[in-house]
Amino acid sequence: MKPNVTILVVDDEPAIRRLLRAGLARAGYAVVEAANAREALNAMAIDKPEVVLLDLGLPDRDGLELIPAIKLQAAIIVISARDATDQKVAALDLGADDYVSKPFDSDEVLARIRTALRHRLPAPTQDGPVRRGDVEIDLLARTVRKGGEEVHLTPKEYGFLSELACHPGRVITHAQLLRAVWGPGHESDVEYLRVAARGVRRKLEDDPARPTMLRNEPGVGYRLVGLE
Amino acid sequence: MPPGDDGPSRQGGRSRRTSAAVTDPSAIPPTAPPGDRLLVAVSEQPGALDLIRAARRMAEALDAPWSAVHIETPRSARYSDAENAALAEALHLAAQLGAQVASLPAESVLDGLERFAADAHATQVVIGKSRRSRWFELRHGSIVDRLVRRAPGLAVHVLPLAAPPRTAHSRQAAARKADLAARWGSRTGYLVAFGLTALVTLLGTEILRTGNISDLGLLYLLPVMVAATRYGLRTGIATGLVCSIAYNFFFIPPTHTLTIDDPRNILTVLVLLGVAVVSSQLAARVRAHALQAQASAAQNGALAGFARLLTGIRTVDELGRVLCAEIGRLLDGNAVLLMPGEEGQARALTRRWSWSPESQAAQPQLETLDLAAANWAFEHDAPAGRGSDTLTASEWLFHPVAAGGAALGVFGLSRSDAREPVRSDRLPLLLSLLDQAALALERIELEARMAELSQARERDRLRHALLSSVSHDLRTPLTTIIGTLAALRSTDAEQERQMAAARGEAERLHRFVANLLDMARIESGALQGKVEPVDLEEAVAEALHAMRALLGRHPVETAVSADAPMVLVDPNLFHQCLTNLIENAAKYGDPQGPITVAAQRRGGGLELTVSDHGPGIPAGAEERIFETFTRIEGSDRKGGTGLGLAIVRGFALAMGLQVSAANRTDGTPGACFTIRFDADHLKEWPL
Repeated sequence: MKPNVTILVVDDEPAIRRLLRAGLARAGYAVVEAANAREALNAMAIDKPEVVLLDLGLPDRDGLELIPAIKLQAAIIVISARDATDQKVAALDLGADDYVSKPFDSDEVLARIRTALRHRLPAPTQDGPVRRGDVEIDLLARTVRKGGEEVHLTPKEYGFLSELACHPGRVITHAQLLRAVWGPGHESDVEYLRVAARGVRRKLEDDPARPTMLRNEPGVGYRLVGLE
Repeated sequence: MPPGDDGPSRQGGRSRRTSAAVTDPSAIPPTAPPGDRLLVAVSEQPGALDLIRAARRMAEALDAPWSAVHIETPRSARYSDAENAALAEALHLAAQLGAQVASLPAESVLDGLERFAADAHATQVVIGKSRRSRWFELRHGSIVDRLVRRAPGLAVHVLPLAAPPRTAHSRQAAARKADLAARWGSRTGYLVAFGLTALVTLLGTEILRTGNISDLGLLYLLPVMVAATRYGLRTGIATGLVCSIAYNFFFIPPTHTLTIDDPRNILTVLVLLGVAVVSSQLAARVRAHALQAQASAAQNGALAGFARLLTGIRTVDELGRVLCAEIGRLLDGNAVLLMPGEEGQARALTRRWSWSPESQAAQPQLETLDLAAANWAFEHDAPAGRGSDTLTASEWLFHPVAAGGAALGVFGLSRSDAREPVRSDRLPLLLSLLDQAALALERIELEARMAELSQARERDRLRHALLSSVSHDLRTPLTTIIGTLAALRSTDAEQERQMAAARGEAERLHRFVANLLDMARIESGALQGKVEPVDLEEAVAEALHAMRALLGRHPVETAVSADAPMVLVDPNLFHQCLTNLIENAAKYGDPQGPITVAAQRRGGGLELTVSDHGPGIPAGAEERIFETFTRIEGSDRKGGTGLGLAIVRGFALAMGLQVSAANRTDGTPGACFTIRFDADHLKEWPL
């Protein structure tokens, strides 16, 4: 099914590498392992993986330093501790595609890998409208429909939504969203995001108190989930 | 007293203390930085205190270091008690006002001052000019004039000293009279001198008999010099006179008469008298110097020995014992040191060390009066008791032991023979010793604080090491276990159930580790949260989403009112608070009763409540429930860690929020937890 997709697992713990290798191999991926930054860079050159699962706590170098060096060659999914929010945000802003928190769930890891791979594919998904249930976002026509009815969004709400819809399933950090929609210089105005997110939630979610489409990652960013 | 100057003598509160070097001018580094250095000459004269204050004002205006020096001349040995006390007080005041204090033995005030000024690189000298009679000045010359002449390049400031009060004058006169009596010399001196004269005369007669030898007069130099050097000027002169008479009578022709024919012999008589005067002066000076040097060497030795003793002392208790024993021994009296007790006893002088020369065991008794004096001395940072200005009825003299402007304790002295506790010329020594003791006390206190600090640092280091070890070494295997269990599939339903149970337990263990780490972060005070505007509706939804596995089918209601503003919190800490409260409600609440998460404005602030249906909180446990490892009785089976609520409170406090627990107020049983946001933690939605 995916014999040509290679995944590099970079972690200094053999047990974690073994666990990931088992899960990934079962899903049909080819797996390469690296225990430190030096081995990871070697594997990048030799095995040319499409996805890198990167633990940031490496013995020889800070994992964050690796991200700029490899982000053009492969999608990067950072594996980090639950409470290391600053580290996650730094990794995402440096160019990592996504993150999973320890202890991770194999299904979650596989879902993240699938999302990351989709974005790496040459054929863009932006052509047709993206859908979720009765919500349809047409990025070309710049319209949003819910239950067939066109929903009126403010320009910022639409900007916020389309930025997320361009990368469905992927977490976009506060700074990235603010830079894309409000422009550079507004990277720390989280308040704007809250206002836009609230508007989108109220207009598109069936129950704004139980959002199913727009997910908030506390202190990190937003992601749109379940889009087709 | 000059205006703007406070207090009569001892300004403990504002003084900067310097260690008092008693005789050593080299204590001031010879390579003092360029700039002004002020020197004030302190005398026993009554105006000395004003002089010192004036010098300090000048030093402050010049922003220059300053020294107070007292030159010990041979005259110093003859000071009266009052003069000694005045001198001690003056030197002590100088030390209190921040001067470097020194006493220097010298031939004359002028010599000493000149030498000290050169050694200390002084540029300005302040001296007081006493209102002495013109006759005194004609006889002794004015120090001021001579100093100006002899020390070019030195700015000399002369301040007139206040006229000595009458009483002091008469006392001085009386003292001088007693002094005069002493100068007439002892009877033994005269007897020995005259005996020697007789001996020399006999010897001369014998020599004369063997041959005609002229200049026998030289023989008489011997008794004159012995008398003059050993017994002083007057005995010397008397001996000189007697010798010349004897020489005249026995050896100068015509012998056995007192007439002198040869004018050369008149010269001999005059020489004898001259030798008597000169050698007695020289000898007296040498003797005075030797005495002074001895006294100051003894004093220095005592101070140096004391300082050495003090450096080895590590505890206050040891210091108390050594201080009492040393000072008691040096000043030959009963010594007692009183210090306030440990904190909480409101500065009452409850700790006591004592020493008595008669017996080691006997504790000197302190009467109520003595204790009153001690307390007064401690509270006012000034001496009290016998020989001071206050509470003189006490047998004891108490001096405060003060450092850094605060009295650390009081030191008391008394004598069993009911004499003055401290001889006035020993007062400077006592004050210097007490200054050293105060410094040592301060040092001991600092050392204790340092030790405490390094202990705390070591504890922190250990905790940090433990934490990172727990964080890494426990979490990594747990991640592997959870991941592996999650990946395993079995066709056997029983095995599937067992694996699910194992995974549940592993996850619980992981949560516990995470909670421990959170708790450790709270306790180490290392929570530096960032503040972000957070949408409550979103935050609650996210917390419920995160707890969806644990909540399962547990019904949940959310009621965040539409007008609820954003809250300013750390998004992660707040998320943890919410999930822990929801977890707590899910665990301790009735599984069928819905958990309600609500938020509404209350007063100027906002209240977020998480309430459940269940047994609620036992009366009186509303605060205890937030303590670490507290679980409501009988609920152990719920599998809580006892940390969840403590973490909620810890995180909330770190963000400046209030958390409280109560039972539901709507009549149904159940617990209700409230997070209260004040107006500072709210941010209104833009219109």
